Formats: sequence, C-alpha cells, structure tokens
Amino acid sequence: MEGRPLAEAELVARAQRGDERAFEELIRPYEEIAFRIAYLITGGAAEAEDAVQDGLVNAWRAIGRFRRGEPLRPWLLRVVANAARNRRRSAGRRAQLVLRAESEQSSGDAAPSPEAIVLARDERTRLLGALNALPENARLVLACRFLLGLSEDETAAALGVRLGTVKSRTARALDRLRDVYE
Amino acid sequence: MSELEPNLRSLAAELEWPPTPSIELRLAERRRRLPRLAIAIALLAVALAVAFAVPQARSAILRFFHIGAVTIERVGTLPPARERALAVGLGAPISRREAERLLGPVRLPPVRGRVRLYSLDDVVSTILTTPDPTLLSELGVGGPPVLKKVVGPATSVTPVRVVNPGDGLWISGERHVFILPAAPPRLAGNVLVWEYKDVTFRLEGRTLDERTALRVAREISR
Repeated sequence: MEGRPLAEAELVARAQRGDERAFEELIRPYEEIAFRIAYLITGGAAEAEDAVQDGLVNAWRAIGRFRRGEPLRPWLLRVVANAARNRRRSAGRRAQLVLRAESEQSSGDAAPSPEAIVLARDERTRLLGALNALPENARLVLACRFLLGLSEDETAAALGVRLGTVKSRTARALDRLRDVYE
Repeated sequence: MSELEPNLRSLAAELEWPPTPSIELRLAERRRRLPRLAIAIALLAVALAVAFAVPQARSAILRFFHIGAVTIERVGTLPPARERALAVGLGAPISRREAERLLGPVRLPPVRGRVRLYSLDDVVSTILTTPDPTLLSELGVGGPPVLKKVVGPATSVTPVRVVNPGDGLWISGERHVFILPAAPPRLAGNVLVWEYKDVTFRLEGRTLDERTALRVAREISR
C-alpha cells in the first residue's frame, strides 16, 4: 500500500479527524479547476488566487461537516466559488477569455492548409468574442459547462443555483450566443 | 444539439488561462497566520464589548461590525426600505437534502409537523412559531451573500452569549434595515445573529424578545 494514493473517502475521513496533510492531498487534484472557476468569477488572476486561498481555508474549517459518500468536487468548487463571489463584489470586473498564441496550439494529425488554419482561427476568435460579450450569468454558465467541462450538478454548485436553473440558463445562453454568432 | 456546443467544447483546449498558483504553500501560510488572527478577533470582541457598555461610544464604534456572514453598520439616517412580511423573498422551496448540500447539517429547534425550507443565494430559511412567526435563516461556510444590517441611533446592538462568549449579537429597539443582495431592502424587527460551527444564524421576529431568542438559539446550537 505504501506509495499508493489514498482513496478520496479515506482522505476525507483523515481530514475530518484533523489531518492537514490529508486535506492538502485531497484538494490537490482540484486546484486548477478551482482556480479557473475563481478566475471566471472574479475577473482577475490575483483576485482568483486570493479567492481560492479563502475558499480552501473555509473548506478546511468546514470539512467536518462534509457528508461522507457525497462527491467532494462539487462541494469544494462551491466553497471556492462562494469565496470568489465575495471577492468579486469589490472588484467588479470580468475575465476576458483569450485564445492561446498560434504557435502553442496543436496542429492535429494532418497538417491543414494555411488558409484553413486562418479560417478556423478566425471562427474560434469570433465565437470567443461572442461568448465574452454575453451577459455575465449567460457567459458563466456556458463557460462552466463547455469550457471547464463541469457537469450540470457541478455547475449548479459552482454558481450557487439550482440544477433546474442551470438547465434553463444554459438553454437561454446558447440561444443568445447562437443569435450573436450564427 | 447544434454545432455550437461542440465548437464551444473545442475552444476549451485553446484558451489561455493564467497559470494556477501554488495553492498548497499559501494554504500552509494561511494556517500559520490563523492563531494570530484569532487572537486579534478575540481582542477586538473584548474591546467592542467594553465599548457597547458605554453609551457615548456606541455610535462611534458601531459604524461597522461583522459577525459571521453578517455586517452591521450604524448610521445617522436609515436608507429607504419597506415593511414586508417575514415570509416574502425567502427564495424557492427546497428539500432538506438540497439544503444540507448547501449548508451541511441543517439545524432546527424541535418543531412539530413538517418544516418548509427556502433558499435564496445560499441562504436557507424557514418560518418558526415561537409562538409568533419567527424567521430563521442559516448561512453556510463562505456563503456568497453578506447580509447587511443598517441600524439607526435608536436601535441597540448588544453582544450576547449563545454558546460561547461574544458569539452573538442582539439587535433590538427601533426597526433597522435588512439588506440581502438578491432582494430589496426591508425593515426588520428584533434580531439575534450568532455563529455556531462555521454557520451564521439569524433569528427575526416582530415580537421576539431576547430571552426567547436565546432559548431558540441554544436549542439549535447544541
């Protein structure tokens, strides 16, 4: 068993008994997704970092109340997203999502023609521009679902809304995006 | 499904995200800072408790105070707010299971019959009968809404002990203004606010007295 990563349930149990190392190990796989959610909500990397710190300290304080057997990720994302929303009230700005520089993108199996690359890039830039221009609620729900790949349950947890709200908000946001983009 | 959804998904791999900082290190730093912060908060609570006992000091000190997820501001003139029923603006009904997903265990005093829970912006509320209608709200860890209460000169704010010294504030006297970010401001009656196990509780009733409020709070916080 030595050297083998502990199962999440075991880490939760240890963290609930006050084991800080277990808690750190528990949250490590979720740091990146937590930071990106916080970035989307706060609109800045520095605020997002502070929000993740706040959220993880809150999560550590509350881990005793976490219900064993429930998935940890939505709970953790919710706590971090709450901290991010608190930070955002004073910041009042939004993250502008941008594409990576051309040279860093993978070219795929077959090398496309230069024209096709330029066209595809233009299309993606236009789609991202349309997404960035959506109202905040619409942009956030689409970013959580499609850019971060969160499930509907996780999106509900991160945005602090009910599952039904995620479904209806996603449908409306896609309609709005379609109007702008297509 | 239109082409839009796969197109959005394909964007994900091409986005430029800021690099994820080293969270582990900062978490450790924060933990080391906590005892000092706890001492500072305890000292502030003692200073405020002393100041509360001196009438002249009240308006000067109580311009801003914080307990759990609730902020209290003392002002000379209250902002405009309407009288509204306690049960208005509590949000959508939710099951106890959904509420526990938001808060962890929902704490309620012993009640007869079915309890209806409502949720708005992660605040879970219910109406109790003590015997008059009393609004109980619970805000979990890191809850997004910072409830704000604005009190005028004729409202008193008194530190009280629910379970531990200084864990509660009793707000009584003239009506104060209660502000939840997702709802319009409203006038509120007597209120007990306290913190227990990382949850902030708020108990409000038109005819609520301090003794009843503390009894209910202690029933909840055990």
